[in-house]
Amino acid sequence: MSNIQPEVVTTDRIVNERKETHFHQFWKEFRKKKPALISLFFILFLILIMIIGPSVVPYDPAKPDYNRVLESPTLEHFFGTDEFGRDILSRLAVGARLTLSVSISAVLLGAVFGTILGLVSGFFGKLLDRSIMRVCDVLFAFPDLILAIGIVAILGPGLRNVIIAVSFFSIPSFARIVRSATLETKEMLFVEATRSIGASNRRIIWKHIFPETVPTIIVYFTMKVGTAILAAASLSFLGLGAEPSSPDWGAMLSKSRDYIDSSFHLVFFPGLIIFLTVLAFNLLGDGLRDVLDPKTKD
Amino acid sequence: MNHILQVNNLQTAFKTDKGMQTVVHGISFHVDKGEIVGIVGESGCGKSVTSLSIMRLLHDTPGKITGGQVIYNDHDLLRLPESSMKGYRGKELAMIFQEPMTSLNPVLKIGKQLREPIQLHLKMSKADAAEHAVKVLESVGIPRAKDIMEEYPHQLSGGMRQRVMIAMAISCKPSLLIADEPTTALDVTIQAQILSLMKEIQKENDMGILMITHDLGVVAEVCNRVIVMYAGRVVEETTVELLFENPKHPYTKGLIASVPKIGSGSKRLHSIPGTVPSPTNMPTGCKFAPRCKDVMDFCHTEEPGLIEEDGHSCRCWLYQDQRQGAMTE
Amino acid sequence: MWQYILKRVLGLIPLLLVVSFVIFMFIHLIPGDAARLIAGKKATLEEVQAIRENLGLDKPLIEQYLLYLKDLLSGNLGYSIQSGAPVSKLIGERIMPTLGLTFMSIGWALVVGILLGVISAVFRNKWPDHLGMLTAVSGISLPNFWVGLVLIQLFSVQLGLLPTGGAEGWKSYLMPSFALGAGIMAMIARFMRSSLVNTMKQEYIRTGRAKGLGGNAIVFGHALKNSLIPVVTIAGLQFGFLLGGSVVVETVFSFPGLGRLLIDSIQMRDYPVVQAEILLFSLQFILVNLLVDIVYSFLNPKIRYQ
Repeated sequence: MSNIQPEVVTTDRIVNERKETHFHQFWKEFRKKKPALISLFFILFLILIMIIGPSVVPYDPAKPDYNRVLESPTLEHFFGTDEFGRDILSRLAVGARLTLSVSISAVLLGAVFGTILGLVSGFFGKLLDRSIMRVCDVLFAFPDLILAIGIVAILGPGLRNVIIAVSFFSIPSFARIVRSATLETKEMLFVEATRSIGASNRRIIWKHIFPETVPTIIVYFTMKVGTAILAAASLSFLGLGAEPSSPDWGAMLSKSRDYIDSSFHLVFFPGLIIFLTVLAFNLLGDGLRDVLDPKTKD
Repeated sequence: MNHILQVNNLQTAFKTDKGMQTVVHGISFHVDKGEIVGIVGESGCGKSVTSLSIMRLLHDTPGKITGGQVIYNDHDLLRLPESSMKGYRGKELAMIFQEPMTSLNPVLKIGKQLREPIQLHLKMSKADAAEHAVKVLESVGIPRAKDIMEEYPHQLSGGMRQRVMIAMAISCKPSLLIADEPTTALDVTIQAQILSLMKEIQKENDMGILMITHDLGVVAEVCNRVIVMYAGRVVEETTVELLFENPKHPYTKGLIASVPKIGSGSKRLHSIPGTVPSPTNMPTGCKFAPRCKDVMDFCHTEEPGLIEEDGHSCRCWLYQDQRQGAMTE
Repeated sequence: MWQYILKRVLGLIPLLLVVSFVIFMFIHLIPGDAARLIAGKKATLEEVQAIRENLGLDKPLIEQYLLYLKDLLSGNLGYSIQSGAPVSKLIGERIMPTLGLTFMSIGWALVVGILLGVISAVFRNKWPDHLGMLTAVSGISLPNFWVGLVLIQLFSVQLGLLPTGGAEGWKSYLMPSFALGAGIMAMIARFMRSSLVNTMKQEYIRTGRAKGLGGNAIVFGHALKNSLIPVVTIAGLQFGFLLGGSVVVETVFSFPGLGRLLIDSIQMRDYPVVQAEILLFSLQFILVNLLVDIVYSFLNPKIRYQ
């Protein structure tokens, strides 16, 4: 305890937080984080593209136009055309659906399994906890991308297997984070109180512990989506993910390597959009962490 | 005048979500040569902030000095540039802290941490500084001082660490030592040893000590003069004898009553009801009014001034007859 | 101290056994008849049988595992199905370039990352901090294969300064190690900043100031060593990221290292090579983290003197 900041100030803040609704309080704080706010709008825009993309793109992303092969960016084709004369902007817009849905569903899978394991591990402790944590240790012994490459090597290439591979390496980190949040919450008095009333374990976990871990999970989820996009794009780039002909961002980059000498826009734009998307998720994650999970800040 | 330190109307504020909140409200006092002055109060009363403000050590806190003077040797420390202030810290004014474990750097050897101020202020070579450090360590009663120079803080006991802190503070013979709760984190027996050590080194070096504490026992043990602080203000100031014989302010009376006494039997320990008000939620009149057992109506609306009478100052309407008479008539 | 190291090393044995078992199961995890899959669609029954015997797939599982362990301990990693060469030989040819690349990457990433983190922490919430942290979050978000391709475009295609690939001479290491280290550099910078900011709030920093020390003496004399301790741990964990990244970056630069070998082997279904490579990557990761623990204990006197 330092004597510098009177404790009374902090108690005051807790009281105030209770007065306002959670969301209102959250938004008031979050609004101040400009980079995170801009990122949120960018991500919402991408999600909009994901939904309505195929119906608004200026060109058919799959239709070749052999008169306009490998054109540099022009007013007609903002990002230029590829080796079949297809509009790159249109392909990227349609590809958003592939890339984002693969990454988000992979992290979602990892989060669901990881959270369950973490809750169970932290809540029941003892042998169960130790066994789950040992399994996580083993998974941690493999570098993320190597684990994913290994899994795809076993299961074969393809987006479904990419989802499995990426979710696999997300599980142990979610499990660990949720476990430590669970342990913290468990220590808090009200869980003891609930237990003495005679609530079932399942009820305690879902009604009392899980809600306390949600902010941590949201923050971590956001940051992991960025990692997952990079991992999925890497796998596609290595030819282990999406079909090479599909408009998946990683796959587009993989093919465009052959044209690096003559048509750099083929390389530049897919990479730029991957970068900006991952950046947006990371900045959003940073902002969410500052607001939702301030104890991990600095 | 024989004042080593003269604090005039010092004001310090903290940056919070709701803007700047003043936590030290224009306090004034002085410390004389060879004198031990205590500042006593509950946690949150602004006593630690006062000590850090004197040293201008608010760097890593949200605090900022917003007014007043800290006069040392005819210089107002608050007007010095940071570069000259560094020359005063550790050399003229030294400070020791509450928690001797966390106040020493865990990854540096005791020797290096002791040598630092000596090499810096006394311009000694590394070897001379080490020799000097060993002497200082011995003077604060540390056995096998040479060995300890090569050890790390975690290898020492709490009492030893506080002795090291004291050695570090007095190594450059400062005129003023500020001790912020130096014994709070220690065992009772060790507390007594450290306090008598401080009295001893004070005599030897003829320095002034400003002793920040919440413990009236410590005050009774070592201090000559006492300043009682409440909610960032001085509420009473007098000599130690007068304070214990004839406490004036109801807050001081409450503090004295809450000190356990030997032989008081099974009687319940007295405690002052309520808590220190937060800077965001200050009462308008006397800041102690909500907790005061002698409270009067107008205490809630008017704040009393600090009135001195026969070397005993007090900030309370009970002793300000004129006003009291006027109100009761 | 030595006891601590010994304890850490011994503690790794169960983990190594489990990891080796998981990797041993690798071929058994391939859905369907592994031998037939490996042999390919056109293979005759005899060829499939030969592969099955070659890989020992006809023996009981536990016997296979013990044989696998025995082979591992004697340095026998099996034989490539494609070329028939010993896997250890294939790996031996490729390991040096990859190690060189990895250490070059982590080296510059540590130096620049720590520097950037210190600058950001010292100028906290001022423009150098904002700039440093924007660089860092960008570094974390950059796809390393794209960085590689952009570098090739810039330095090889446009300026003609550096070779586009291979591993001949130090010049061919520059771009790959930049692409590979950028992400780690960024992460180290972020951790360094938050660690140093955290350290600067500690009470011994205030003690240092109370002694009259100036800003530089405080940061470099008192805070840096303390704040490096957690960064070392993080750097170890990030090493895994580096190993994964090396596969991608080696592919971009046609770099003759282990990563390229892994991808080529997967494409050719050369499973014994894939198996050995994954084991090797995990082993490196585990060993680096052991090394980190030891460095950590050297930095932290509390552990060193236990």
